[in-house]
Amino acid sequence: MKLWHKIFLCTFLLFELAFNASMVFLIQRSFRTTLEKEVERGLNEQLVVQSVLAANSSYTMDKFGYSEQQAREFLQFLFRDYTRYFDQKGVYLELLDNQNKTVYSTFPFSYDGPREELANPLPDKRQYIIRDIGNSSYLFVTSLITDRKWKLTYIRDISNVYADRTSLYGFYIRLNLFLAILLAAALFVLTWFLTRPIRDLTQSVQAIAKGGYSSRVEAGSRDEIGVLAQSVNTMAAAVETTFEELNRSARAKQHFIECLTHELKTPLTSIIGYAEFLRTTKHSPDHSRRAVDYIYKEGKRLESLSFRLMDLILLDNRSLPLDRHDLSLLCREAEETFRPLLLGNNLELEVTAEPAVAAIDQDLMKVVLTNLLDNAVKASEPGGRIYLSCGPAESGGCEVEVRDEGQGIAAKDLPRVFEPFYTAEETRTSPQSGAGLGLSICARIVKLHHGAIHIQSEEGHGTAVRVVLP
Amino acid sequence: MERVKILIVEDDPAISDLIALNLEVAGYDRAQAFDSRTALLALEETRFDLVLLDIRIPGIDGLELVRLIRPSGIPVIFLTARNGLMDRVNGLKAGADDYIVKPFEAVELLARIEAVLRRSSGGREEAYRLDDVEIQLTERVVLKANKPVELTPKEYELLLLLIRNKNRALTREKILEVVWNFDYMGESRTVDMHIQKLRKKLEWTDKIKTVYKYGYRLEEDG
Repeated sequence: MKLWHKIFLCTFLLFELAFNASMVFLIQRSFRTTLEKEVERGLNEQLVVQSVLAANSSYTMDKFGYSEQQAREFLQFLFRDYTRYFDQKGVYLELLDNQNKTVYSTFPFSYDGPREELANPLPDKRQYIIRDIGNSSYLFVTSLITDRKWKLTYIRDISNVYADRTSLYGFYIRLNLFLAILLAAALFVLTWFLTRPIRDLTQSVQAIAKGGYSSRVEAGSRDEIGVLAQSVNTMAAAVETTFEELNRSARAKQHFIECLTHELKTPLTSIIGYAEFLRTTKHSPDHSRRAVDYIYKEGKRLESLSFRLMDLILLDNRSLPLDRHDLSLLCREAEETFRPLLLGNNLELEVTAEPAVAAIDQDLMKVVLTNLLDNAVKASEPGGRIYLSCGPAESGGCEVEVRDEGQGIAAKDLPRVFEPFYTAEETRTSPQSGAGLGLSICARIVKLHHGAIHIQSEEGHGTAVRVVLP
Repeated sequence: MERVKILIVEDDPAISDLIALNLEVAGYDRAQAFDSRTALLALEETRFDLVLLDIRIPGIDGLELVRLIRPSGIPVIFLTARNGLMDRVNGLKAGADDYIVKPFEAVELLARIEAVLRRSSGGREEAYRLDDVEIQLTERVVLKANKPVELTPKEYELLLLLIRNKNRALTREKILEVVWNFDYMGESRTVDMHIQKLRKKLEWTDKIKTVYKYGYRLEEDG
């Protein structure tokens, strides 16, 4: 059962209950009041008749010494007078003697049931009872006429009181039916409208649950549902972020594995291929020299790849003991190391090293410098210049910068250069390009030093990589 | 007979040279291109009989290059480092005639080249010659100095295998695999016996060399 059905049904039933209860109460109350009035009137009228009769009977009997028989006749005569007056109003009088024999009666209906009101009526004490005879209700009021053993019963038709109540009930039932239909329709529409945001929200949440993490809920209103919608949006945003993060890292891993596979396969294909060539073919000395050359080179390539991978893996689970060292000394050292390579490529290295002491791991920092200089050499044309500088950074701490005037990196490749195995399209063709691990190793090492690495490049104008250490 | 020309489009120089060496030994003419631009230029200048194409080449993507080569009717064999099924499907869809997954054996590569060339030439290649021995493929006849030589079917198959891989040593296992379809697992004596028979029938005692601890090689003089 849906919520809005529940709301609708509960409200409707509650209303019906309250409405019915109050209506029944009202009708019953008005009925009772009317009945009481009728009874009151009956009692009064009976009192009037009784007192007149009593007065007359006692008077005549005392004054004129009427016999009982005479008194009876006299009373009957009086009775007729009264009944004429009462007859139109559905009022009847009945006179019984003390043996309950009818002296006189205008009551046209026979009633054989017990007459409790006749039992020992006391003088001045009227007893009344309401009886249903046939389809009508009658009020019976009985009392003694003075000390005579005569009983005067006043009977009044009060069916109209009951009929009124019945017709009122009939009217009320019709009214209730009409109201219930009206109310049901109104409530139905109203609850449906009020709960519509919940349904919208449900749909949106289902869309999100199905994986549409980028879809959002409309949070229009400012009520509880609006608040809920906003919370759902916040949740979806959080899920989306996490999901994208996971996706990204999964893609990065996948890419890493693909690249690694490729990087391993290529040299292996060569090594196995050349070895097989040497083993199976009849070949010239020149052929065999070339083959052996390649086997050696590709073997070296695999070796360096495996070392770099080891570096990358080891860097991942390593906490560094950092010591304070002067970076300028490291720069001088690197200059020495690179001299032969620079000479071989006809390149010039310009070093500007101011003393800059930072907490570093010497070996790893050397790896960073070596990698950066290596890249600079590869990017530079013969006759080019490379600048290596270190010193205090503007933001505090120290910085090292390697700048070249070489081929530069395309803007589209820049954001990804620190990813493992990422190599720009153009560099892939050059035989001396590495596997694209250098910069990612640098980035890892700098991260271990709690530093930052920045790269700036312009195609055809050169590249600058700046490492800032705290 | 004019020598077959093959274009190798492969960006890794080591692999490219390796293929080139193997083709040279097998007696093919070949040219090397290291990116798609030079490959297209080479195709415009020279009439090649076959293109070996690496899927991952700089410049135009390999699949795109196949579409460009396609109209010329030159057969293409894909070299792919990835064993992705989609790669091969896409390659074949794009119009490649065959594909080979790296790392590949030279024998494998040469066999595929043979097969593709045979298909594309519509059986144009009807005979092999080596010295005074001629094999007429359509008639399945072997002539020695223009005289027919009687060979059993297995001997004939073995001779074809040797001649297609001339100057290259074949292991006994490889020979069993190709000629006997694994029927004689580990029965390398069978191979030796058939080799002896061939040597006798064709008087090729010195031509079919035993490669110590490896297998056999049919050598062409020169």
